[in-house]
Amino acid sequence: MSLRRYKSSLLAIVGLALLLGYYWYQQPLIVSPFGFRLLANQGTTLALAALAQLTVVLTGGVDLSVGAIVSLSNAIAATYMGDSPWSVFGVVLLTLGAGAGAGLVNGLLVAYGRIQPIIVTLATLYVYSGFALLIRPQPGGSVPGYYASALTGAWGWLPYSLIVLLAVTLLFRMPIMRSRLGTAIYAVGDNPGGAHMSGINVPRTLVSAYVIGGFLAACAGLFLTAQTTSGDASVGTSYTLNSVAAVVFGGAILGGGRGLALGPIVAAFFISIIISVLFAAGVSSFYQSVFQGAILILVLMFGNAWTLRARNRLQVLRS
Amino acid sequence: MTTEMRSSPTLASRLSAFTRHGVAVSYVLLVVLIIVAVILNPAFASWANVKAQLQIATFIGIIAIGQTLVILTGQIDLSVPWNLTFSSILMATLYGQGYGFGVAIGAALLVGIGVGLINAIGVAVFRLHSLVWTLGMNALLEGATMVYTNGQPPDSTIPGVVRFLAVGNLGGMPVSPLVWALLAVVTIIVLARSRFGRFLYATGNNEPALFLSGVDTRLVHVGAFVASGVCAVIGGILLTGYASQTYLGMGNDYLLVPIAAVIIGGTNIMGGAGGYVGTIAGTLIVVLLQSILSVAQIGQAGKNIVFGLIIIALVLLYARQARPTD
Amino acid sequence: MSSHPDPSSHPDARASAAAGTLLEARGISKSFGGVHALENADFSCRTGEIHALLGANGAGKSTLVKVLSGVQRADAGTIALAGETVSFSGPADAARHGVATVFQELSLFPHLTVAENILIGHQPTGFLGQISQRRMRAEVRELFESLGVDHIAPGAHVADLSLADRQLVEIFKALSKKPKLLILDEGTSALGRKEVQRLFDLLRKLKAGGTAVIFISHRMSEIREFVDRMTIFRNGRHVATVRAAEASDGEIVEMMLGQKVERSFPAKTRIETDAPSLLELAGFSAGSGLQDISFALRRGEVLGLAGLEGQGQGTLLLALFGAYRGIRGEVTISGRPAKVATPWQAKASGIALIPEDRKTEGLVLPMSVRENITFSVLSSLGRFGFVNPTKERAFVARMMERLAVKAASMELPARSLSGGNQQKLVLAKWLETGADIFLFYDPTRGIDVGTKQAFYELIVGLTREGKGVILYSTETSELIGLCHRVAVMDDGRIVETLQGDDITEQDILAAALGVGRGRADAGSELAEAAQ
Repeated sequence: MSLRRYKSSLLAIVGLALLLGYYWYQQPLIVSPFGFRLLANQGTTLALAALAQLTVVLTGGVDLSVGAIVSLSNAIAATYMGDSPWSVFGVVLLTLGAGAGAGLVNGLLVAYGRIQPIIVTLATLYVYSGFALLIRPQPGGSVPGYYASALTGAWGWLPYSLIVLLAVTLLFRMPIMRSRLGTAIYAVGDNPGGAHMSGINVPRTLVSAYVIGGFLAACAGLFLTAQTTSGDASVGTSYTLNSVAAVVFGGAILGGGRGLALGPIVAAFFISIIISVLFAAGVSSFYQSVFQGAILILVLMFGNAWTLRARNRLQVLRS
Repeated sequence: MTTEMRSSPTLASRLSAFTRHGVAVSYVLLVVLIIVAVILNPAFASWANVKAQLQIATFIGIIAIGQTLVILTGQIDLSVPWNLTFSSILMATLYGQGYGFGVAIGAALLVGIGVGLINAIGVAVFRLHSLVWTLGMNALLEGATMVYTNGQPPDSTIPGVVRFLAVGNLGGMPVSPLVWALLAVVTIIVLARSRFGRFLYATGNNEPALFLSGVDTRLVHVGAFVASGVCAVIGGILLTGYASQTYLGMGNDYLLVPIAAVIIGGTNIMGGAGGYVGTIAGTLIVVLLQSILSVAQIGQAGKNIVFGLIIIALVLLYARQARPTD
Repeated sequence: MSSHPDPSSHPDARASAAAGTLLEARGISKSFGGVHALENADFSCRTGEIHALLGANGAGKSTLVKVLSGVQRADAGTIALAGETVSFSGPADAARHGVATVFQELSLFPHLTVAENILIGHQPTGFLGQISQRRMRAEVRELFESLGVDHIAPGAHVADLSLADRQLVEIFKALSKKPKLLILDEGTSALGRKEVQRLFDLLRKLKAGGTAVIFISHRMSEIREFVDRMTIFRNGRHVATVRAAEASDGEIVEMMLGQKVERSFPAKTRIETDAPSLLELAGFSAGSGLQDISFALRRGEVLGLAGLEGQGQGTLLLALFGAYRGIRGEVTISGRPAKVATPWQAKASGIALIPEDRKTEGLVLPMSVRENITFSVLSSLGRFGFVNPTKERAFVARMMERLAVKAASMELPARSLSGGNQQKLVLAKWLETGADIFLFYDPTRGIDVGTKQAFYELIVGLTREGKGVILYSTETSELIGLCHRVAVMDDGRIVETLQGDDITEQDILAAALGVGRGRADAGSELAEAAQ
C-alpha cells in the first residue's frame, strides 16, 4: 500500500540504478568517499531546483523562472557574502528571502493577477535574470572557503550535500506537504474548481506554493554558489528546463495534483550524472548533448508507452 | 454586451470576441508605442529606421507564425532555437560544399519538416506534454549541431538568393518584410477560412470533442508542428542572409521573444483562441520595445527587467483569466 | 392545491407551527451578462425537513444553490438563516454558518484519498500542523459507520471509485461539516435505485436530528416518495411550494413548464419482417469491458441498451464508433464487412455518435453554433481544404431550422445555449454526414421535459427515414417507449434481448439482475428487493 505510492518514481529509480551500475563498471573509483562526494554534489543543485519546480507543478502550474532565481541567488551570494560568519549568515538569509520574494511575486501574479503561470514566469524570468545581471554584470565574486566546504565537503562516506538535501526535504518541505496547506496544494492542482467549492482559499494556496518554490530555488542557488565559489548571472539558465524534465521523469504530472518528492530528486541525479557517465565512457563531448536529448526523449516515450496500448482512446486524449 | 449591440448579435459577438482576445487592445498599444517612440526620437519615423525595424521584425514574425499555430492547439514549440541553428548551418555548409542552393535550402526545409513530425508524434501519439517533449528535441538538435560542426563555428558561404531575400531591395522596398507579409496573409487566410484552421481552434479548445466528430486530431498536431518547424527554418535562413553567417547559438534569441509576441497579440497560451492578426501587432510591439530600450541605453540588465515588466503589464491589461466562479 | 397556483400567494401560509423556519431567502436576483437566472425569487425551508427544489432547465435552481452556498453572490435580495440575516463571502463562510452543499459538478479530488477528500480543509492536525492520518481515517470510519456504509476504504483514491461511490463520498464530505442545512444539487444522478433508497434512509436520520435538506433532482418521480415538501421554480421565479403528497406528477410538470405537457412517446416505426439488416455484429469484443457481442440492427429499428449502470453499454457505443483500440469480432454494415478501428473510419462507414457528455465530448463550447454544427461535414462545404462561408451558413441555417435549435444567432458560442439546444447541435453535425446508424448515449440526460419530447420525435423521425438507432438510456421509460428491441447488458455481455410487449420495467430489471424473465411476479419481487 505505502510502497505503491512510490510507483510513479520507479522509472527514475530504475534509471538511476542502471546508470550508476554502468558508471561503477566504467569507473570503479566512484565507489569511494571521494566518488560519493562527487556524485552527490553533482545532483544536489538540480534536485533542489526540481523540488522547487515540483511544488509549483503540483498546483497545475509551471515555473519557468526557476533558473533565473537560481542565477539571482548565485549573484547575490557570490557578490555580497564577504568573509565573516555573520555576513555569510546574513547574506544566506538575504538570498533565501530574495528567492521567496521572487516566488511571492510569481504567486501574486498567478493567483490575484489571474495570468497563466507559464506567462507570468516567462516574464519574471526576464525580470529576475535582469536583476542578476544588475548585481553581477560580469562573472566573478567569491565565497569563503569554509562556506563552500560546509556544503560540498564530506564526512567520511557521507557527503554534506546529501545532508543538506535531506534536511531541506525532510525538515522544510515534508512538514509543509503534510499540513493542511500541503493537501490544499495537491487539491488545487487536482481540481481547482472543486477546491474553491470545498472552501479552500485557492489564491492563498497558489501564492504559498510559489513562495515555497522560490525559496527552494534560492536553496539551489546557494548550493550552486558553494560549488562554483563564484557568481555568474547566467549560471542558472539550464536549471529551468532540466528541473521540468526531472519533475516529469520523476513521475509528477504536468497539470497538477500528482507527484512525490522522491521521483524528481532521483531523476535530477540521473540527469546531472549522465554527462559524467558519458564522459567516462569516452563519448566525445560533442555527442554528449545528443545523448542527453536522446535519453530524455526515450525516457519520456517509455514512460508514456501505455498510450499505445490503452484501449480507450478517449481516455488517452484526456490524459 | 450592451443594449445597442443586441440588435445585431453577429456584430456584437464579433466585437466582443475581438476585444476579449486582446487583438484590438494590442493594436491600440502598438499605435501608442509608435507615438511614444516618435516623440522620444523623431528619427524613429524615418524610412531607414522603419526598414530596419521591419527587417528585425521579419525573423520574429515568421517564427511566430508557427508558434501561433502550435499555441492555438494548446501546445508550445521549444525546439525552435536549435532547429533554426542546425538547419541554417546545414544549409550554409552544403552550399559551401558546392551543392546548389536548391539542395541546400531543400535540406534545411526537410530538417524543419522532420523536426515538426517528431514533435507531433510525441505530442499526438505518445500524448507527451509539448513543454518537455520539444525541449528534449531541442537538446537532441543541439547535440546534432555540435556533432555536425565539431563544435566549431561553421565556415561557409551564403547563397546569393538567401542574401537577396534577407537584405535585398525590390523597387525601394526591402524584400524580407515582403516575404513576411506574404506568409502572414497566407496564415491569416488559412486560420480564418480553411478546415485545418478550424480544426486548430477546436483542438485547442476540446480535442476529445473533435475526435468524436470523426476528425483525426493527430493530423492537426502534425500540421501545426510541421508549420512551426518550417517557419523556424525559414526564419533561420533569412537570419543567415541578414547576418551573412551562421553561428552556434544563433537561434537562442528566437525562442522566448516570438512566444512573447504571440501572447502579447492576445492568443490564449492554453489554446483555442486568438490568431495571427494579433501576433503581427505583438511582434511589432516586441521589436519596438526592444529598440526603444536600446535607444534609451539602459544596458542588458535594465532591458531584461523592463521587457519582463511590460509583458506582465500588457497581460494584466487584457489577457487575464476568468475567476473560477464566473 | 389548485391546478393553477397563484405565485403571489404565500407559499408558507400552511407552515405548521411546530417546525421553525431555518432558511428564508427573499427577493433573490442574479443575472449573468444580461440574462436573468433568478428574478426576485423567494425560497424557504424549515428545520428537520427534506425539501425538493424542482424546475425545468434554466429555471434557476442551480443558481439559487450557488447563491445559498456562497459560491456566487446575489445581485439583490436577503438570506436569513435561523432568523439572522447572513451574507456569505464564500463556500467556506457558508460552511461555517452550517450550510454544506453537494454540487452538481463533483468537487472531489480524484488523486487524493477518500478520507482526505471528505475532511479537506478541516483535517485533524497535531504538532506543527501535521495532519494525523490515523485520526483522519478514524473520523471517516466513524462517519461511515453512523450511516451504515462499509464498502468504501478511507485510504482508497477517489479516482478508483465508481461514479456512485464518488457521489457518496461527495455527500459524506458535506456531512462531515455537520451542517444545519444540507443542499444536494443533482446528488443522485449517478446513483442506482438501491443507492438512492439508502441515501434517503440516511437523509431521514439527519432530518430526525433536526437537519434541513434541500434536494434538487430531475428524477422527480424517484424522489417524490422521500421528500416532505416541494418548491417549484420557473424562469428564475418561485412558482409554488406544496406538500409532496398533495400534487400529482402531472400537476408538478405543469407547474414546471407553465403549460400542460403530455409526456408521451411517438408511435414506433413499423419494421417489415424482411427489412434488410443495417448493422451486424458477430463476436464483437473489446477487452474485458465488452465480450462477444452479437446482434443485427435492421433499417428503421431502435435497439435499446439497458442494464445496471456501467455494464458495457457505453463501451459498446464508443467501440462501435472506433474510440477503442484492440476490438475483435466482425462488423458488417449493409451486408459488407466494415472497419471501425477509428472514429474517422466509423464516420466513413456511416456511423454517428451522440456521446455521453455533450459539454466535454459533444461540443466545443467556446466555439460558435455554426462551427460546432459543421465539424463532421466541413470537407463537403468547400474545396481544396477551404470552407465556403456562404455554403456553410446555408447548411447551418437549414440544420437549425430542421432541429428547431433556439439560438439568437449561429455565431453565438455553443456555451450560451440551453442543455437541450446544445444536444440538438450534437445531433445536427451528424445528420448530413450520410450516417445510417445513429448511436445515442443517454441523449436526454439533464435536459428538460419539453426538449426530451422533441428528441423522441427526432429519433423516431430517423427511423422513418430508414436509419437504424442504438439507444442507451438510464431512463427505462424511454427504452420502453422508443425501442423495438432492448438488449440488456451485464458485465460486458448481452444477457437478454427483449422484444415487443416483453419490454417492461420488470423484465428489464429481472434480466439486468440475472434472473430469467417470464414470471412477472418474480420481476416485481425483484423490483422490491432492489429497493
